[in-house]
Amino acid sequence: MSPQPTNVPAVLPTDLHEKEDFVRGVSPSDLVYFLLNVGDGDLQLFLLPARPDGSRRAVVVDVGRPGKLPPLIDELRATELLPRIPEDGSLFPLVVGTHPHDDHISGMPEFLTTWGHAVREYWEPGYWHTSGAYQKTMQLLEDSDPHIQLTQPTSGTTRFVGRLKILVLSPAVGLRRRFDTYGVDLNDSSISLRVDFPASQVEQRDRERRYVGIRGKTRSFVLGADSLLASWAQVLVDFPEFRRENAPAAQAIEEALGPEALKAEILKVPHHASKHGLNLGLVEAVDPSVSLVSSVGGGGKYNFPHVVTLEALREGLEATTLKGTERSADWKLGIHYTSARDGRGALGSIAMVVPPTGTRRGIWRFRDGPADRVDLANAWHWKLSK
Amino acid sequence: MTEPGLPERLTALLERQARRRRAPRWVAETLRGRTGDIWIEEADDSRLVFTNGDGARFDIEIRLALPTQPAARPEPWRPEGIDLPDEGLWRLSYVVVDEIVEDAVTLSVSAWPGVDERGRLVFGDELALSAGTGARALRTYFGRVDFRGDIPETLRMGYAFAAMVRTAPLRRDDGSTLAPSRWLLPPVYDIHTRARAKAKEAFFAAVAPTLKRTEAERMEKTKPRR
Repeated sequence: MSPQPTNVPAVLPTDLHEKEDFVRGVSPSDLVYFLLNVGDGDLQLFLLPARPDGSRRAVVVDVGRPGKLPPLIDELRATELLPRIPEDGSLFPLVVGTHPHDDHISGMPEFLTTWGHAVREYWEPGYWHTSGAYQKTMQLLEDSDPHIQLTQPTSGTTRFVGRLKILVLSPAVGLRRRFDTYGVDLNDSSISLRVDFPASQVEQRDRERRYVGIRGKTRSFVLGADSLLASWAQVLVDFPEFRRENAPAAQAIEEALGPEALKAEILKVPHHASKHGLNLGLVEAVDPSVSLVSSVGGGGKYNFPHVVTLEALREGLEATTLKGTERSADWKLGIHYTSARDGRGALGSIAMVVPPTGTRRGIWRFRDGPADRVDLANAWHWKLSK
Repeated sequence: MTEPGLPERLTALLERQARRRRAPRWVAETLRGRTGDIWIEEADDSRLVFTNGDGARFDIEIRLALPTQPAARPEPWRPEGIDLPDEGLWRLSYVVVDEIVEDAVTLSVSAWPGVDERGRLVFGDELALSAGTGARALRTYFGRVDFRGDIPETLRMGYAFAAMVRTAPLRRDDGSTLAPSRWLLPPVYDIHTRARAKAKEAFFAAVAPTLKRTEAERMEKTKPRR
C-alpha cells in the first residue's frame, strides 16, 4: 500500500550529495542561480556570466529576510566568482520585489542600504502596502542617489540583462488595473517571471555576424513568486500553449515567438506550494525537470507546502493514470525543498550552476538554516546533477 | 603582549583573503612586505594596483565607512483618533495584516514609527516581529475589548491597527498561532485609513518628485476637463 501523502519532505539518502569545491565548479561562462533558505519566504540571486573584464553582474528577486544576502555577496566577492565590482556601478542592473509581503521584502531595506548605490532599476507591482518594510523600501528608493529607476511591469514586459532574457508572466494588465490595494489579493499582484539563458543569438566573427537559431535550446526558469490561481488563469490566457498538431501555424508562431512560453526546465513553485499557488494544468504547461519549493517544510503558520499542491506537482511530473503505477520519490521527480534534510542534517539553500551550452546543470546545497549565513566552503554537490 | 596595531590588522585581513582565494605566492609575499620587482601604483583614492615583472597584477580596494551621526529621536507619529502623550505613543506597536491564507493571518508587528522632517513614517532598524493568529479569533477579540474604531467586517491584507503588545511570545516565533489575548493589550486603535494614506504617500513620493505647496493648491483648484 502506498504511504499517505505528507507535506514533510522525506529525509534523503545521505549518499546523494558530495562535499566539493563550489567555486571551482563554476566556470566564467556559467549562470549561477541561488534560492536561499529563508523558511517560508523567497530570496533569489542570479549571478550572470563574467564579462570580458572578468566582472559579473547580478539580478536579485526578493529579499525575504535580512542578514542573508549582503553576507552572501561578501562571500562571493572573496572568491573568484565576484572578484571585481563593475566600474560603471551597475552590479545590480535589476532588483525585483515581487510583491510587498514581509516574507519577500523584509530584507530589502537592508539590501538597498548596503548596495542601493549599485542598483539601476527596481521592479515592484505597484500595490502599496501599509507594512514598515514596504514604507522603508519606498523611502530608500525615493532617497536613492544615483536614482534607481522604479518600474511596474506587467505581463509581456521584457528586459534583456547581459545574456539573460527576463519576461514578465504576471501580473496581467487586467489584474494590474484592479490593484488599488483592496481590489485584488496582494499575492495575485506578484511579479512572476520567465528567465531564459543565454539570450545571445548572434555569432560575431571578425567583421561578419550571423543569426544563430537557438530558440528552444536555452535554459529557462519560471519563478512563480506568490501568484495564485487567479493570476495563473490570466497567464494561461496571455501565454497560450500551441499544440504541435496545429503544424504549419504552430511552427510559424514558434519560429517567430520562441517555444511555448511557459515550458521551462526549472520551476520555482509559486507561493511556497500553498493550496492555491499551483494546479495540475500549470505544472503540465511548465513541464519542469527541476521544481524548487521554498518553505519551512510542514508546519509553520500555514502548513506549507500543502499536500494537495505537492500531489498536483507530483502528478504533473509523473502521471499515474495507469492502475498500479507507483509514485516515485520526490528527489527522483526533481523536486527540491529548501527545507530538505538528509542523514547529515539540513540541506538548506540551493544553487544551480547553468552552463550556456547544452551540458548538464549542477545543483548544490549549503546546509544553512533560515537564519544562518551561506558558507560557500560548505557546499554539497547533488550527484545526479553532475 | 601588546595588541596588534592597525597596519598589522589590515595585513592579517588581506592575508586571510589571499589564502581563501588561493592567491599566487608572489601576491602573498607582497602582502608580507617582500616587494622586490613589484610596482605599486595608486590608481585612485581607494585602490592600489600591484604589478610584477611578468606584467601580472592584483588590486587592493579600501573602503572607509565613516561613523553616522546618531539621529535625534523623531517625533512619534500621531494619527487622528489616538489622543496620547508622546510616551504613550512610543509604547504602542504598529500592527499590519500582512498575509491571509484562509483563516490563518500573519500580522507584522513593528515598534511605533516616528515622523521625519518630510512627514514620512520612520520605522526603527529592528526587524518587524511576526504574529500568527486566526482571522475570526482576531475579530472576536476586537469585539470583546476596548476597540477604538469600526471593527472590520472582513479582515483584509493591509489593515492596520495600534495597540500595546507583549513581545516575548512573538519573539519565540515557532510558526504556531497565538490567541490575540496572549500578546495584544487593549485598547486597540483602528489606524488603517491613515496607514494606507501614508503607504500611498510613500509610493508616489518614490516614483515621482513631490509637488510644492503652490503647485498642489493650483492643481487642486483646477477643474477637471470634460
